Amino acid sequence: MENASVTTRRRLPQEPEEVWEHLTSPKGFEHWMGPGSTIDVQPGGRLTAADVESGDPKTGRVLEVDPGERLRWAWRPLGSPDGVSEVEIELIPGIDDGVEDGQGGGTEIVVTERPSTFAVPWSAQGAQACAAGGMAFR
Amino acid sequence: MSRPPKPANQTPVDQVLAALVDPTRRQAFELLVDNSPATATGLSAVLGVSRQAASKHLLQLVDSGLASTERSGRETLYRADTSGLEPLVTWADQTAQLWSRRLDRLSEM
Repeated sequence: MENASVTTRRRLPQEPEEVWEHLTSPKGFEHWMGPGSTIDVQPGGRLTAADVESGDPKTGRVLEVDPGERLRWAWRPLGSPDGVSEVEIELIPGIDDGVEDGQGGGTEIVVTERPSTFAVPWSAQGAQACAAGGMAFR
Repeated sequence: MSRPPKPANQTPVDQVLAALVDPTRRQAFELLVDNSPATATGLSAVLGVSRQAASKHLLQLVDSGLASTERSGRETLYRADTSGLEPLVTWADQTAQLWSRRLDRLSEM
């Protein structure tokens, strides 16, 4: 069973090592999280995200680092004690990119975010099904 | 009946999750979804807890917006209110959209 969570997947043509570099390098992190964003890529390291997409700057701590494979952090809106959630980013290698070049390769990036205040063993999809009417969510 | 105070600093999502983190209370909610209206006595038998314990769980569901009550003679009837799950569904929708846009930016590199 999973906790209440949201998972987003994306296939990228680059190899995991290159995607990792984009994810975590100072220049890369700033590009995708917004100007001024920083991440200290080690367990306990500090994370500051401009988070331009939400317009809601965040602060957090890195929880787990497995270079090229997995990055996990907890974050919350800047200046707020609540709304803490945990983000896990996995890089899965060897996704067929559909090009018959004998190379294969590419990366599937899988991002899971879950509220970390309470561990509730059911999925957000289950909650939606329940809200749609009369289904137990497990 | 005494109830634990509701922490003031919880987000709506946290409040819904807090209500459902207890397995018995979650089961009570699931039962209500399928069997509304129900009484505390009726649910206590299915849950295997005392009527008092069932009442307490049901009142916490009411406090969290996941159930409503009505009187029927001397009895209190409880109904599931699945609209109480909306904060969670909204959070899930927004979170999925945000990650889709963040991954757009990442894939531009």
